[in-house]
Amino acid sequence: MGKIRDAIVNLDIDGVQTACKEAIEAGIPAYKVVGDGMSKGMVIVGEKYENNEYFLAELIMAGEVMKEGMIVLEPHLKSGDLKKIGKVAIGTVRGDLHDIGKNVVVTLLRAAGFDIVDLGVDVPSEKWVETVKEDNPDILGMSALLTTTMIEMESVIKALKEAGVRDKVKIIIGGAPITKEYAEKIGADAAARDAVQGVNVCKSWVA
Amino acid sequence: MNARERFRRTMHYENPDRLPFYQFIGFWSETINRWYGEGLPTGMSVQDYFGFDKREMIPLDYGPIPQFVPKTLHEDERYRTEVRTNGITVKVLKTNTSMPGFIEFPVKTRADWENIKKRYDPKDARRYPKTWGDELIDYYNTVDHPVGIHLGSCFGWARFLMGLQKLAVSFYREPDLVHEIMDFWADFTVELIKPAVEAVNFDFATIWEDMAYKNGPHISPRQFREFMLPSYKKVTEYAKSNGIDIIMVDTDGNHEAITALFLKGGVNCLYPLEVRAGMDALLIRKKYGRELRLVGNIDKTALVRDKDAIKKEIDSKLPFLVKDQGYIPSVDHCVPADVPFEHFKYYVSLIKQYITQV
Repeated sequence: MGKIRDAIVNLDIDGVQTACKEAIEAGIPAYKVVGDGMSKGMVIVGEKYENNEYFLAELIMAGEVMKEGMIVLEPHLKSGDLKKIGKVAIGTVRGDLHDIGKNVVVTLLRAAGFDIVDLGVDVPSEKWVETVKEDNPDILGMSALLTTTMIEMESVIKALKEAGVRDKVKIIIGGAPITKEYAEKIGADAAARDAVQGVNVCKSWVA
Repeated sequence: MNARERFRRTMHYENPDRLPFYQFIGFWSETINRWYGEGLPTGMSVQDYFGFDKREMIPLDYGPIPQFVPKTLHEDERYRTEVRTNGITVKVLKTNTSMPGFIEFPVKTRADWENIKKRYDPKDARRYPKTWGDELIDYYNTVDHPVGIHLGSCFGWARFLMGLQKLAVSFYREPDLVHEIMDFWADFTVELIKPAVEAVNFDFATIWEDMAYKNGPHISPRQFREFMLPSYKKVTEYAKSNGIDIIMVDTDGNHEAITALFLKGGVNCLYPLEVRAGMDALLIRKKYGRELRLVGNIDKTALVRDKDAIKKEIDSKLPFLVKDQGYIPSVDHCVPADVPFEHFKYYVSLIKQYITQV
């Protein structure tokens, strides 16, 4: 398992599949390889990012290494094997098509064991409301790149309140212009400083 | 003192009559459209209205020749998906002109790179203005405002060829390809600018990167050192050997982790120093000294808030920076569309007062 964890941490995209195959051949259940190997590796990658040892390119690369390993593991996973720790609906708000940050967060949330409803980009208020009603996420994650689009976050929260579903979810917001003060002002539950910290906040909410 | 002399003296700490007056990165087009409804006379440019100092770049073509044929792939009421002249497929909102969504990039394989390289012949005469010749050279050498030359983009170009996702992976899976692209940029740039820098006394050069965001640079210092630094040195040393002694890099976000590497690579001016990303011109000046010239660092969000916030932001920085020189005041990116015209007018009135207090 250490080999798989290390492959993730060392961004060894060529070695991760071999390590996963060896684990499967040794009779280790695939879900354990994901949970005790890959996910733990991603936690260490997150720590390195927070300590400025790793940067955005390394976060992206770690996600790619994980995907490469999952190609080996997925055929061995049965439905329900991977216990989900919570469900997050995530997207960029209306008017915002920039999704690099959102996609990094999705990768890290998946690695942490969250079920993801990826709403994509330019998501209107009514879609967020509909998602809360129909998919029952524990958390909504909204992303915005610009000051001119972040104001949509307030509209979403207002729409959730009007639909009577605001209290069904925790709301976390992130993106270049987002601050803790802005989150408080619009009634979100948290502002993510970065992808790793955002995932840690989500984990604390479902613990 | 004319704008050219003022620029040179400011950047060399030689007591100009006042600091230059620029909005260095400019304005979003939505901002200007909004201001036409708030008092900016219809049809008048912000440059003319506010009386910004002039500056000029020699218009060299750094793009693919021939360009990719622009075409619309899909269009509905809200979006348009289009191939642009640089070969990138983007999805844009028809209602505004800010950041598009990137769908596809031209280099997916080494073969794509080999093909696209053919469009980057630095000696193609079409890269120079049609007016290039003695008359234009004389104009650039004698005009009364600063004249600059663009040196293209190292990381930014590689990202536009491959996309950030593929580029991030390629640093590990295909390091030779990334090296080749970045080395190519250096050789291409040196060859392309040769006729211009040998004839014109440029006041500054710019490199566009946009390689950081609010939490730090897109790549690690190790990657910068290994992949970008040799190319940077090659380009900046060539520019300096031709008398260009101010080399500016445009990168958004927080670039603190790679600031020293930019300096090592021959850069001596950084902008726009985004405040929300944690950049602080006073701290940067304290840490790197006068070797690093600075442009920007006036928080755009203060201009959104109110006049008190604008005054507080300017008062907290300009007294020191104006006196210390080697600094050009400017909002820390394009002025966004949520800035009222009245607020920008107030910002300009304060800046105009401060820049004379050298």
